[in-house]
Amino acid sequence: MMDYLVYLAWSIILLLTALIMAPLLDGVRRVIRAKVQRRIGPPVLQTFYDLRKLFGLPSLIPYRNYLLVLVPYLVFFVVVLLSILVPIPFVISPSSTVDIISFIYILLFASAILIYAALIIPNPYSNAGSIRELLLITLFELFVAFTIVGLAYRIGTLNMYLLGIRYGWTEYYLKPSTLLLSLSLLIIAYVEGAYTPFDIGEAETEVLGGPYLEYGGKYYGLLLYALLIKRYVLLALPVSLVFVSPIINYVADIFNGFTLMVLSYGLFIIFMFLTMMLFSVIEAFNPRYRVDIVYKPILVSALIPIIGFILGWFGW
Amino acid sequence: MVNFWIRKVEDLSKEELLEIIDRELKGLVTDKYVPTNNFVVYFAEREKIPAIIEKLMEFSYTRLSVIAGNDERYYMNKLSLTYIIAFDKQDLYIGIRTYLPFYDPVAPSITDMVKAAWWNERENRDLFGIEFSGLKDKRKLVLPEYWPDNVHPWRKDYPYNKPVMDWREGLPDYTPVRETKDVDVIGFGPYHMVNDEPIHWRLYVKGEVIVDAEHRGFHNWRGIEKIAEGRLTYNQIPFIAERICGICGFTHATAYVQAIESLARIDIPDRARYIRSLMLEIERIESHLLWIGIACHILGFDTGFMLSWKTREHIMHLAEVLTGNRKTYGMDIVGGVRRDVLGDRINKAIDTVKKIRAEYKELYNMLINNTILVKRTRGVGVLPREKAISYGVVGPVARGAGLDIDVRKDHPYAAYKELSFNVPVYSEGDVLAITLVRLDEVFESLDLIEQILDKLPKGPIMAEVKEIPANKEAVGVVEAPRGEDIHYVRSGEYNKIQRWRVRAPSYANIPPVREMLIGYRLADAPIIYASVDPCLACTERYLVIDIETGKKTIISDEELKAKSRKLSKTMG
Repeated sequence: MMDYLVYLAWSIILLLTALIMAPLLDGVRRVIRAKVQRRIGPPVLQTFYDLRKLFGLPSLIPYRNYLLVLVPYLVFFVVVLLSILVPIPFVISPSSTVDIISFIYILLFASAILIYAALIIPNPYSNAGSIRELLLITLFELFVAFTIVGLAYRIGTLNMYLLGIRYGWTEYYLKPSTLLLSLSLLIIAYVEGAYTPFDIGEAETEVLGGPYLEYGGKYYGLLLYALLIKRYVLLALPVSLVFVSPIINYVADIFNGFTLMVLSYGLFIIFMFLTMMLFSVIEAFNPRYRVDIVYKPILVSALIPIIGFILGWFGW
Repeated sequence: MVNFWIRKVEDLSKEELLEIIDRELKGLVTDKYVPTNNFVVYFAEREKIPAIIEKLMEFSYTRLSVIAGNDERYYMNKLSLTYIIAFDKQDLYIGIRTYLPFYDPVAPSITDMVKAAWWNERENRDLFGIEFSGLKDKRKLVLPEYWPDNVHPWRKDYPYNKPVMDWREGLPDYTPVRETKDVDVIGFGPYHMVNDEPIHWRLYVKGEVIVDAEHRGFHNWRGIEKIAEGRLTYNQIPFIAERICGICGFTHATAYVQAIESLARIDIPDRARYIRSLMLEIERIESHLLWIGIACHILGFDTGFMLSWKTREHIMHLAEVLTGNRKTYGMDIVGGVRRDVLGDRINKAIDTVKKIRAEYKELYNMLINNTILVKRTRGVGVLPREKAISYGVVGPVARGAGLDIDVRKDHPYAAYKELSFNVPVYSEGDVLAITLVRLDEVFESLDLIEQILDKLPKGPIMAEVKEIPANKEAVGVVEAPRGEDIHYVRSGEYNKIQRWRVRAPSYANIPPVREMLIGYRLADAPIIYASVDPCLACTERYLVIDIETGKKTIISDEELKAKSRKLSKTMG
């Protein structure tokens, strides 16, 4: 009975963490970008204020199609669901019930819903943005697939909970293959999170927000919130595996039980902020790619998980 | 077809060239008249215009600068067209004038020969009712589609204060120029994220590739010249001229006063010349930094955008220190300048230039070393040299396409003859080349400011101005940040002008954008369009704040929102 309560409690904590952290991380991102750009920038809570404003605005749906009303709720529901499956090492949560393939593909499903909804809208900017987004996901498929295969082969499991714990074991962690796979996980979080220069789908100065263009008020608020939670979830995976897991494994013998879980959760929060700061700096120094030049860096970077997988194959 | 620039004449002097032109045009022109040192007018029958233009455009470094229409009912009882052609290496403007009777206002079109005539002919058709035989594009350029065909607002029988038609009385009858069966149509503007001012482009795309484009602008056209012709005196016009543009307003004021000084043969004091150059260079830096910021923003590089505009703040502050205003300096007046640059302000200006140079170097290095930025602009929006000549493009767009033209060097004015500077020229004709021209020009302008401050002569800042003679004409030219800004002025009676034609650089630079867009991707459209640094305020010359008629209506924020929501509901 106690186990179930802990399980439930952590699920709620993870859910609340995602709901609060997602806008907060975006606030941090905006502050860091402002610092790099040598301006004062908005307060760190600005994204909360933006969302509050959006939820208070009248919502316009220019095309009378119930699917378009349903999409923001559906996308939001999917990403919130994923947020409780985040594998924080040793934290007992629903992450044990899911494997990394399902996790990533449910995440892509959220993007797919939005893309297909935007494709049925007779707006050329929405369509162009959606097609770009679709192209980016398809191009990135190879990268994601090899990272997953590499992880499965190297760590020996695809279960999210076990992956969270085992990833930091010294026998795996300090190998060149794992380092390459760690880098791959960070790249996935960056590219799928649509940070500049990979924001070609939204590209406000080109296609005016792409798939998001026809939404306003609370519907846009929901979609924006969903995008932020999606970024949080994408970031949570490498943060847990690459940064938290080795440290928590190192101290796992000293602490145990509840203390270990709280420590792991604390480290997770700290590294989430630090990684977002790193992402923000990278983002600040890059202009946007064009759709016909983005394929080259993506396909070339697929060599990272491929080499990681090959090295793992030979036990390095 | 014209063989552009096949006759090399750039090494000839003005006199030698005029001799050749006299010889070449013999039999084609009827008379000649020399209003000012750098402006020669030939008179010709309308049928001869295409042959004359064809001959003149064969000389190297020539451009069709503007076709100025005029209603000369009180002098000749006719309409007139003056084709003003620039000879950039001889500091010469040649006007070919033809008169057209009111009962048959038809002239032959030269658009097929020289693309620079395209907008000019359409504009004269709208505003003076002059028909151009052979002009294929009969769409309205300046006036709205519903405007009656027999009403021409720049004719003298149309009063300057006659209210324009209420837009609700008629609906625009817009017909696209192209079939849309095999392509998708993407509307780019009038309100688009990267359009600072309203302009509409219809982009015809297949997938993301642009196969054709169509322009519709002049949404804000109000005919500022008509107001000046109707009610303002010579010395009031520089202030409204400066308000033509919020970025390069000083160039307009300077071009106008130079034209008046030229026709009235007024020599302005040396100190005033230097102060004008100083303010023009300050304006150029301000404009270029603004453009660099916008270009970075379009390409998703907001760090470049912010750093550029941060550096720009220093120059805006310097303008405020020198003139009292960040923009719209109000310095120019016929005969000189209104404010002097005092001692302590010179020191401040020197310090500011040093600060800007240090910050700008950092920004410059960041931009040119950014691989993605270079990839996004290299080979994009290419304007070949031949087309650049035909369209008569000016400024950085021309210099990016390999045309070594700069009014400061070619038609020296203010203090530029006594200053040393380089004119950056790149031959690729793409967005990168245009960008590099602008980036380099900021350094040149900083050097120029230092030189001006160092050499600033002592003495008065105003010349004595007596009566401005009536019925004289002149052109005033200034190298604005976007290129040649030309003002054709003809003086009238009662201390008022008879005709004022403003041809801002964007008027020459926007028409080729259509060709620059074709074959590139939708993602490139904003940066290609932005590469010409389009200034619609200049192009359309919109500025009317009519307080006197009492027609000013103030709509509160709430009312505006309510109207907007009401409209949205009707659309939903």
